[in-house]
Amino acid sequence: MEQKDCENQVVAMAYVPWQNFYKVYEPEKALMVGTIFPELNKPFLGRRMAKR
Amino acid sequence: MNQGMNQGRGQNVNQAKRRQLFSFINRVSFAVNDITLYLDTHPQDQDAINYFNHYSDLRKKALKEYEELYGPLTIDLARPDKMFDWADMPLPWEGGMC
Repeated sequence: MEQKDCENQVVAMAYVPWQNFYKVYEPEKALMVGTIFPELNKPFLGRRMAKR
Repeated sequence: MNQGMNQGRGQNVNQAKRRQLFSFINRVSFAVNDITLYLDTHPQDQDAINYFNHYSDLRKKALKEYEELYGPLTIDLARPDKMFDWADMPLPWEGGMC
């Protein structure tokens, strides 16, 4: 890409809130869902989650 | 089921208890692993440290118990006295713990 094209463009801006140790799953459930942190438990449900 | 098994501890026939202990080890190991990731970025979080110590102790105890009853899962837990049974542990395709 020509350098001049993205001279003043913002490359990326991440929004990463600070995680706190609050509640965790029991080890059995954690192993099943793949995380001990409920806030990181984002299973893919097979379709867009758009709520119309 | 485990024809490939040798004499010695591998013969311990109580498969149900063995599977139960093994799945416990998997569970606490996962908890330790996941909290380690958190502690990487929160090294002074006391709750997380307590959580880590709790499950890490459970894991060590369970691994030790497993070694005494069925044989070592990892080489650093092997404590052979009369026989080095590390190489004789049943392999996954011999029905060894999967």
